[in-house]
Amino acid sequence: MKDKLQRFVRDNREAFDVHEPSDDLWSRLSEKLPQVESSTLSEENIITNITPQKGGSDSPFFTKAWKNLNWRIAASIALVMGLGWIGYKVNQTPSIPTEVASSTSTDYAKQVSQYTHLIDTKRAELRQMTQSDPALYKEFAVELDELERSYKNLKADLPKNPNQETVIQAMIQNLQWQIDLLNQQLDIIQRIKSKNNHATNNKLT
Amino acid sequence: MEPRLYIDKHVELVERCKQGERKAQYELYKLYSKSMMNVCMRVVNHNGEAEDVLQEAFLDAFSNLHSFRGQSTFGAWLKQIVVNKAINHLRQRKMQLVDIEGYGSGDNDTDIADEESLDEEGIQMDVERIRRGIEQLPEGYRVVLSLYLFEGYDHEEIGEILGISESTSRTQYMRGKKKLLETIKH
Repeated sequence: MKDKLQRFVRDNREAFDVHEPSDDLWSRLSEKLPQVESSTLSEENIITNITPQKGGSDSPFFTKAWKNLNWRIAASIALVMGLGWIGYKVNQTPSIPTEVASSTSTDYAKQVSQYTHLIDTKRAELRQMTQSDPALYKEFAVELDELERSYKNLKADLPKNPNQETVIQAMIQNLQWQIDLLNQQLDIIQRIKSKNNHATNNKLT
Repeated sequence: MEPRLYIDKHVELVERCKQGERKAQYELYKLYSKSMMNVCMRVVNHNGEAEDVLQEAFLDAFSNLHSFRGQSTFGAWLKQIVVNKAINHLRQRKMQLVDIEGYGSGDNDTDIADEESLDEEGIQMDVERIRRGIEQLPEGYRVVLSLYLFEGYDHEEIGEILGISESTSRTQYMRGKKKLLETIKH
């Protein structure tokens, strides 16, 4: 039984979210969060403590800009180190030639983004094509979600795993499976559709 | 730049939150507070109380982040906390949310027949009217409808969350929907 209301809500999901938490909710919330002596945080505190002494009307801006900068520097250092580490790991593996190795991590990233993009598009397509048949979509989604779940597991394991290369390869393999599955599902829908069309055409003539 | 961000962004953000990094917590809050606020509002139906629930849920999530193992998305995990908090809040507010609206099963059959006779296809759907219509529903209907339509839970899951049977959830949904459609129609 199709449920028009269900479809309508699903298609207009975003438009229903009209409420915003008030602006001060975060500050109320963060007061209750346990204080931590993380290095980034204490650095931030030091900076905010120092800047007012410098005086001048531009100090709040300066604080903000510096904090942002500080943050970005830290992030890029982390990124460079992470990539460097992956590159180093890859270089250690004798079977992979050096030129390939240096570009490996970016290649992986590119592949992942291409695949996830493809998956998103195909999922949207699937959703659209199964609009008249939510039950079928649900069935398909269950299979997809299972793969996605194991992908998430791999992703969560990535930072801890000493052999990141293997994990990334497994992740990419998983994404490929997702695409295969989506292709098959789309194919099935396509076939159902053409069959139905055929049937109605026959009825009409 | 983007591809790298994709691999790292959420894992990294959650990891940093686990370390208690305030900035990362704020980023996660920014990402999810609006949608979660709306989840709260649909269940609790009161702005101030929804914010209280939201705050509690985020506090809970941040302090229990170590138990999040990435089996689902962070968003799904957080939503589970939010929904549970919101339902608990309702329970505290009204001792028996379930009984008051007559969750009793039994006349499923007549209900489904009623449902079929309602001309759903002929009704003009409109976001604002549906939203307001749901707000005006009795609590029991509103909660089941919201969880089913908006949060993507099925009746089995709703049954578990609310401590009612699957078929009761189904019946509640049917009745609630009928009532909602009637209000939209007029």
